[in-house]
Amino acid sequence: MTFLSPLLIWGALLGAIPIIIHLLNRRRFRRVEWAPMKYLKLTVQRNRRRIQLEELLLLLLRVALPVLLFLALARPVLSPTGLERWVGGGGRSSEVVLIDDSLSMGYAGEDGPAFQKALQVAGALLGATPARDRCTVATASSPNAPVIHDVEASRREELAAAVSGVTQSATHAAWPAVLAGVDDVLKSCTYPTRRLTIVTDLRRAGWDADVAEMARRWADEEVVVRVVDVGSEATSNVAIESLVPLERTILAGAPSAWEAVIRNDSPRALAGAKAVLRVDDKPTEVTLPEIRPGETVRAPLSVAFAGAGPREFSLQLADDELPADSRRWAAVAVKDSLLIRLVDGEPSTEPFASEVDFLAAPLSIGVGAAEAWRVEVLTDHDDFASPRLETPDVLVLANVAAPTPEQADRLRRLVREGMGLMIFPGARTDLGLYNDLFFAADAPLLPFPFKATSDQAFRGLAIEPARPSPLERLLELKASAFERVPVRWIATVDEAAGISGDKADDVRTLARWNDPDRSPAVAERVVGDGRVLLWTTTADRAGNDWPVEPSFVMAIREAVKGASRATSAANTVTAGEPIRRVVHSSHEVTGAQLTPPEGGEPVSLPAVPQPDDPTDAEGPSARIDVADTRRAGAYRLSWEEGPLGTREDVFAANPDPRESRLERIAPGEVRKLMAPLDVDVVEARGVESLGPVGREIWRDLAAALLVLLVAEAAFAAWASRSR
Amino acid sequence: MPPPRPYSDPDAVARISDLALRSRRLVEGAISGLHRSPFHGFNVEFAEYREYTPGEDLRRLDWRVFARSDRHYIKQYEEESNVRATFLVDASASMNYKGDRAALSKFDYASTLVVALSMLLTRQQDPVGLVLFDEKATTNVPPRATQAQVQLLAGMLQACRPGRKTELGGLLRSLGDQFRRRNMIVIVSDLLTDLDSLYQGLDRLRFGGHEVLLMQVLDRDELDLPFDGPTLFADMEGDEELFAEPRAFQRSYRAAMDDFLAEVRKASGSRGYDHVRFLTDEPLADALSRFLHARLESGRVDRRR
Repeated sequence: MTFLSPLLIWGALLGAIPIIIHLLNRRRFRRVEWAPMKYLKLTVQRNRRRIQLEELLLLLLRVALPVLLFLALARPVLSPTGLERWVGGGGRSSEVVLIDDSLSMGYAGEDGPAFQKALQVAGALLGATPARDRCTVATASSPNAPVIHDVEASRREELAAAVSGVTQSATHAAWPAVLAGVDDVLKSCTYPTRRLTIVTDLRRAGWDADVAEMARRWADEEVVVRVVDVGSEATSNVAIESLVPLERTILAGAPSAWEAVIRNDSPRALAGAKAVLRVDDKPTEVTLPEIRPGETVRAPLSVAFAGAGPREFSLQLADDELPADSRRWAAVAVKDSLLIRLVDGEPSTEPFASEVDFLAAPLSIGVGAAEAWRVEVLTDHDDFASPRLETPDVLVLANVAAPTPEQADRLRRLVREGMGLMIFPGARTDLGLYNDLFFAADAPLLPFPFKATSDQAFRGLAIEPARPSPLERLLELKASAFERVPVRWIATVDEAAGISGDKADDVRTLARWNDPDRSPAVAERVVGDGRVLLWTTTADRAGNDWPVEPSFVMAIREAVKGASRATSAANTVTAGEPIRRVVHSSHEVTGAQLTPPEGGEPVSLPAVPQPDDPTDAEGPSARIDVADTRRAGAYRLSWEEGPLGTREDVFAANPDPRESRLERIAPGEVRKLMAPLDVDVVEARGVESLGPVGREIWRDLAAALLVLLVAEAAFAAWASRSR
Repeated sequence: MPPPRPYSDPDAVARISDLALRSRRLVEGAISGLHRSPFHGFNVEFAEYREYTPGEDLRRLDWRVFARSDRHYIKQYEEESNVRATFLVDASASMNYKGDRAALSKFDYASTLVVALSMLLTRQQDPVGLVLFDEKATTNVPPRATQAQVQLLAGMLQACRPGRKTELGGLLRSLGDQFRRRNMIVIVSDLLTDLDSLYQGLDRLRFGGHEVLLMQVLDRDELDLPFDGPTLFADMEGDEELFAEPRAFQRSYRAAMDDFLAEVRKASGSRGYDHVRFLTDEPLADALSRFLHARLESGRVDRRR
């Protein structure tokens, strides 16, 4: 038992007052000369024991009143261990200190970052733990892997070093999961009396009703839990919530469009603020749009990577109270060019007489400094879907008469895996067969089934205002650029069939003809990771004159970029999420090494060979796992691949945006969430103010005092009656 | 309307410091209506008529005289008695007790009673004697039926300063041996003595053919223990002291005292002796009058036998 106001315990000495009064009363008596002494003595003898007992009880009651009063005022804190020690002089306990190292703990209030305060508090708590107890230090980002576990409290230096070695992470503290992780630690503690102290900043993010499950169990197991609040009441913050590419493909040398979502939760407007964009470690300054207080804006960015391969870049705002969420990273596998395979269903040796000449022409010009495209032309006599061929980023079927079912299956699989497919019908196209092969009920590729062909002449088409869309850049052109296009032949489609069924959401029309029925001109279906674009006219001038229009050049370039295999976003994770790199290689993968962010020491990692999978066309593989990604930044992974030499990949771990919401949770709400566990939530204004762990019992003492007051009055009246 | 009885007020009686005077006032004022001795002799003769005083027993009214003269007269008799009354007065320290509610100490109260009765007896020519005792007889005045005897007794009682222990039983046994003639022995005491020894003494007197009257004088405090708060009780006849909170056992004490009185009454009755209890806060005249009437009644009963 310990006291929060220990000086007041001296007041319990006032319990001596009734004894003093009792003794004084024995000196202040009436003297009576008495004759029938014999009968008086006889009576006193008969009643002596009862009288003495009553007097003793009354005296004890009166002594207990001031003692209880000052005990209650001294605010005693009772813990099972404390009581054992008090009563029996012996219990030992396991003290677990859980330090919240989540991103929000980096918030610097008036008296410094909460995380630094948390370390001080943890150090002080462990320093004050009785030497015979055992201590464990764990962090919220890795609760089931303690920094130091079940160490005797007498090893103070070791414990202090462990606490000072704890670094802050950029993770989110989801308390139900954190408490479940700590539960494993608590179970493995030596002594059955367990006390858990959570040192946190009490931000609402992460606290929810699911913590009650663990709290109930701990209440049953009599685990003593206390929460020490080291957080600031301030919530002012400016954060980058996300950094996303607006294009499917990032090409080396070509500017790629990105979007940074920035939220201003500070009371001041951000006007003319600058951010630093670092691409390949080259910083450039970016001017941000004005962001008013409480506003979230999407700031456009243009990022160009000098070379292909694994690349990363970051955007960093000026430091604020919580600098950790002012920077975000993106790791991308930049391609040097896209492989476009054009399958010509009506080849010709004459210039612009074959079906794909008008498609190849727009793709012959690069994008910015990038070569951008590698165009490969096959005829429909070739096996354009052969697995022996390099998988293209986009496959274009132009007036291909009749693909085989095998080719259709292969295309279906490639599209699901991310390949783009563009289909242009023509006079040779067997529309019925296409419907059969590519509009199967279970796995359709076509957005709509073909219905018929129409050779009724009309002019023009209109781009649908869909965003994002592979053709959305065409909306920047004047509508007249499309209205003059003469059209002589189109394949009509059954829109109703396309937009029914469970895959209707994957289908949309991107452009429509100006015919009376406003037939779809370009339609899109999303299939797995890939996209299929159906053009309902020919790719040459046989059916229309669009291929000779400048807008067609732009349309094809944008469509190819929009439909091509997407650059993987798998290398960008949120801090705390594990990274797994599967290396497909026929050579042995060795020497895997991870360089953590900000110049950390490289760490060797095992490359675990994966079991052979006959269905995997990419051959044998090995897996490299990076478990600890709690710090935000770029993680560079390298490995040896036999004669191929050193290979490298880069990953980015970003601050968890949930931690940027700094709304506080009230201590009472935490207690309510943790019910029926009686959680003591204390505020750590200074390390010295920390009280001991346990349950305050002044309310119980006050109730006992009230009962004793009534009992004393009643007993005194009863004892002083004439008997 | 009964006449005013100024001597029935114990405070007023107590203010008269002279014992003889106090007793005479008591006899003349309070019990003047009585004309018969409380101690029954062997011959009764008519003495005179006296005018009726309200409050007197109507049975003594002479109805014939009333019929003839329409006036109320009481027939007075004189008892010819040869009763030798010896008062044994307790002069131990315990008789000094005087509670807040009493005007006289037990000893003063007893002395007044004794002198008043002596006056009554000597008027009838009955000899009265006095023995003052504590552990033993300190004063022994043989019975005489003179007015000087009453003055002597009053003087001795007034001069007496009670101060030692009571040992009544032994005294009674020795007196039983001393008295050769049949005596009326009146024991005036609080009887706070060894009761077994007392009973043995009474048995000895009974064996000697003496008539015994026990007049037990107590203070009301001694019956109800009215004290409140811490109290140190000091034994009046010894060195013993007892610290107690009386309210905690008042009822038990009262029960013990009731048992004590009942036992004494029973022991007296079983030996054919009268036991009369006096409380010092009661008006002396009332107490004496009540006692004399009771004696007269018991005398009538005896004669009927």
